[in-house]
Amino acid sequence: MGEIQRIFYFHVSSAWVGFFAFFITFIFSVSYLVKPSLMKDITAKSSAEVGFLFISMTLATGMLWARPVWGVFWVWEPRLTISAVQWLIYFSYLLLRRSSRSREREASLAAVFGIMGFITVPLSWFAIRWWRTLHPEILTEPSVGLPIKIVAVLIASVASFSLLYYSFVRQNITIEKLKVELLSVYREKEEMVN
Amino acid sequence: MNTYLFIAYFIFLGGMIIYQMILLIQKRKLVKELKEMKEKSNR
Repeated sequence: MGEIQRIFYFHVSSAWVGFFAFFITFIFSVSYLVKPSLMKDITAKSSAEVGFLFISMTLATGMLWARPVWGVFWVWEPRLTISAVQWLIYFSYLLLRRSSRSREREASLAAVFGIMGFITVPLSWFAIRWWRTLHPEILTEPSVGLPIKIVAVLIASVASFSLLYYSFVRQNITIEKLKVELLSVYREKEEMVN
Repeated sequence: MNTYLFIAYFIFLGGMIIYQMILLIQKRKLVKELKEMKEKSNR
């Protein structure tokens, strides 16, 4: 495959981190519906936003890898179709987070959306096992057997991307907390005026 | 370097840098606004 194989480290690591981010959104969404709290909602939202960024990178790098290897940027095969649907679902999730007026209503709706959207993660994972696809199954297929050097670089890139995810989510949480604080200051001021 | 690999690097690094910049600008703007609001309400 030559030099183009290096996209693998970006593509696979981004996908892993994206799936992990959606898993965190799923956990905090379930937890929010069980016992609502502002912090759970903020964490779910922040993780979904960063997950969306990484999944977008997965799609972009995947298309750039597919062109020289498959000869086309995109094929409507099961895994790619599920990935496109997943991208649209989380895009809608982020739109939903910006549209609703009441914070509680928005958080409950988004939590349901976050749980439903997570279905695409196991679907995407099992798509290459359940259906005949062009997408290779290299990580769990014993006959492929990745060389140890490739595995080492892959582990290093997954670790560094995870750190990047953690940093982005933390910054996002700080921003959301600031927004909440600012809103309460505005409300206090309004009450004083009235 | 392979053209597709170069574009992939460019999109990935560019995307991450732009997102980080957006977060920093957003945070700075909110901190400034909050500080101003608190000063106004203290007066």
